[in-house]
Amino acid sequence: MDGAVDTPPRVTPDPARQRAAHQPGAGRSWLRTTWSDLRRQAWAFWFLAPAAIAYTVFLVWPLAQTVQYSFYDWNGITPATPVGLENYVAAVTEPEIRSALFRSLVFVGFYAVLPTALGLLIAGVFARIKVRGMTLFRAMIFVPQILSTVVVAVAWRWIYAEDGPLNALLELVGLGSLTRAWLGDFTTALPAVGLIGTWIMFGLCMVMFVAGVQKIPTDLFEAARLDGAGAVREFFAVTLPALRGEILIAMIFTTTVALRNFDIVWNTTAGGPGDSTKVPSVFIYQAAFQSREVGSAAAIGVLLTLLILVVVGIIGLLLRDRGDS
Amino acid sequence: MRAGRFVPASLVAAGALLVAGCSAPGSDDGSAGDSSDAAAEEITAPVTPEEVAELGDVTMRIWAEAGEEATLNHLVPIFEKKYPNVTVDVTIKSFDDLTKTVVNAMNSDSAPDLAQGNQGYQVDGALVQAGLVRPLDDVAEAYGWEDDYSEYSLNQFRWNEDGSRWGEGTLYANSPVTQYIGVYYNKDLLAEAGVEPPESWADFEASLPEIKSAGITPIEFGNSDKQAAMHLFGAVSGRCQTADEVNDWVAGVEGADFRSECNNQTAATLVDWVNQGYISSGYDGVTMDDAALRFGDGSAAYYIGGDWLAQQISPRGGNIGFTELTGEHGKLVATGASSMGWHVSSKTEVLPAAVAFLGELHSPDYAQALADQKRVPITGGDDVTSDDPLLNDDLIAARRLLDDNGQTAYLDWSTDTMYDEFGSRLQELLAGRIGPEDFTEAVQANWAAFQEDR
Repeated sequence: MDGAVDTPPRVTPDPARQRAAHQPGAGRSWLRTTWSDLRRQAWAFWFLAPAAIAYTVFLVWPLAQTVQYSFYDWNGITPATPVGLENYVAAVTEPEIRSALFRSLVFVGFYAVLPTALGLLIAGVFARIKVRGMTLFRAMIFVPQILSTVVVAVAWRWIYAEDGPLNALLELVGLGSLTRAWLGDFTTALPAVGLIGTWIMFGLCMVMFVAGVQKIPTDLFEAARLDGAGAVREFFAVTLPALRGEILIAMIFTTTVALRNFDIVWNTTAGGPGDSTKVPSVFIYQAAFQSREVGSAAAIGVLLTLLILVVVGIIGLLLRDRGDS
Repeated sequence: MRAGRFVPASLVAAGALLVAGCSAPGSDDGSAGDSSDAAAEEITAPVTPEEVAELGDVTMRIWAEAGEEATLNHLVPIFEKKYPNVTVDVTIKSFDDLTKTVVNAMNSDSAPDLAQGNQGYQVDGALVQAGLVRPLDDVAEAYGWEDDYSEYSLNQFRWNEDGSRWGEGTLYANSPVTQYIGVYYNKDLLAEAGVEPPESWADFEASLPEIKSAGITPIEFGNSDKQAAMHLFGAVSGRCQTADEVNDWVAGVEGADFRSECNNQTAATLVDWVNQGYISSGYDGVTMDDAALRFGDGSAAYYIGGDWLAQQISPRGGNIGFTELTGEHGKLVATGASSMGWHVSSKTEVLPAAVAFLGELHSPDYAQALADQKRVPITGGDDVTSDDPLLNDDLIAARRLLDDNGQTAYLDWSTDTMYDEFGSRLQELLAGRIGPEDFTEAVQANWAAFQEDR
């Protein structure tokens, strides 16, 4: 067999044409889709059914139930009493929950902004320098993502302990005056927990960005260099714009995790010392499992979901691809 | 294409909302409070093996906390031998798992026949309120529990009719095991500092500066889970108030007030201990269990904590003793309570077997076996002993505390949010962010709000 004949011509696919080719109804607005169109395409629903059923049972249904519960005063067992918007009013007017929301925003800094920045920095460096053993390095940095958060929390509790390695290191370099029980100190507990989040998240961001850099055509870098761009200029002119999609996904994912952050906080400080690391999800847990106020837990949960949607929406708007649509 | 994606998703969402919106939660499942006829039968005398045999071959299902595992491994084979027609099926869960799932499990159609709850509103209160557990007054009468068990140990399982108030009323559970807060001391370190093991809180306080000046940390403490400080407070405040004062406040008796001189003073004393360096530093970054292990390794002269931690401290090999300290009133008063209570499901079909099991477990004849499992029985008196010196100290201290009627309820049983409130405010107090009066004021405010809600 002659291999040369079977080899398809190497043509760089045009993304725009590809998209058009895959959309039979392209060009026609979905609003104008008629019932006869739907009936003709009804068989398509059968392919959607498995996913739709799983999605409904595990996501839509519990979400709908949560919304319903939020309008009741319910202990989870005995018949519930409808209370209208009372749970929402209580949640919004509770000063403790408001300060917990503020702490959530601090966590966005540690869980989303910092890891994205670090990931970009590393991706930018790797765009210029080829490193041996890159795969191993990437795998190592990615490990925190796949570890159970309880394991992570226990490990960091040890690192941050008064007689733990972090303080030992500080003593070693002559900063003994800074040592403290990092998670037990009112001023350092919040950033200490936040940095655990940075550690978990930045590997994911880095892997996404490094992968993103690899799909940037090398001639763009070459062109930039020929035009005399330095490392910084090259990063802002070539790497950063090309990674917009990856940044968007990384930011949405990490911000969501930051806002619903619970396991790390609960397993390191239980919201303490005092209330200094209490986040909204701690209130949800306490209301649902400790004081059995399912309604108010559900209301805080719905509010938190809405907040996440709004924040993610804002991020999407800020980073949207202006060249498209 | 987008229509194809949009239409089913929205139809599904709307449908789910519609179905979910049909009825109020908790009203239509039909299982809550559906007592079985078998469970309603009255017990007038201890159940005999013949009565149990009438059930035919049955399986009895038990849900228990991990601390019960050794006891059940011992008792179940004995029970199955005495009642050969009963097969016992045991499910063991961690404390957290059990307290978070037992109410729903008891509410389900396949509820266990016997299950452990937890005193206070969150678990026992919910079980009683929903009618999921059977009243046990007749069982207590038939088995003479009121003779073998102190009033306080039974009162923690008594609830009023609608499950909104505990401390008196109908009995819903019992436990043969007690747990309480006491003082561990390292005999070698005390000797090194030239201090005799303390017998009273006055001795204890006087020894702190001496131990400190000998270069030894006086008190090991770990409070990152916010629980240990509450235990510390419950033990130390026992020196200046009676058990009744504490128990009335926890049970929500009208007019009870946390802002007593004794509580203010205790709060100030704890702050002083921190400032004087009597308490190990960095405590809010150490868990209660880790602190107990450190103490077992000889980190400090004293550790104030639950008697159950002896099982972790003892194997570390230190020369450790355990005791209760006499207060200003000449009595022993400290936080303590029965272990998680045993409930009978109101849906059980095997009532005689379940009652027979509770009878065996709570019998004074079984007390020594409990001590052999390293647990502290409420019944059995001075005859119950242990070869393990620390556990033997534990048994003696428990007997003295029970004889003084000195056990006080866990302070967080007072309201459904007190656990976190008390723990958080106490952390702020010890860090010097709020004063002793601010602390007692905040705790009382939480209590008052809860009483008003009920």
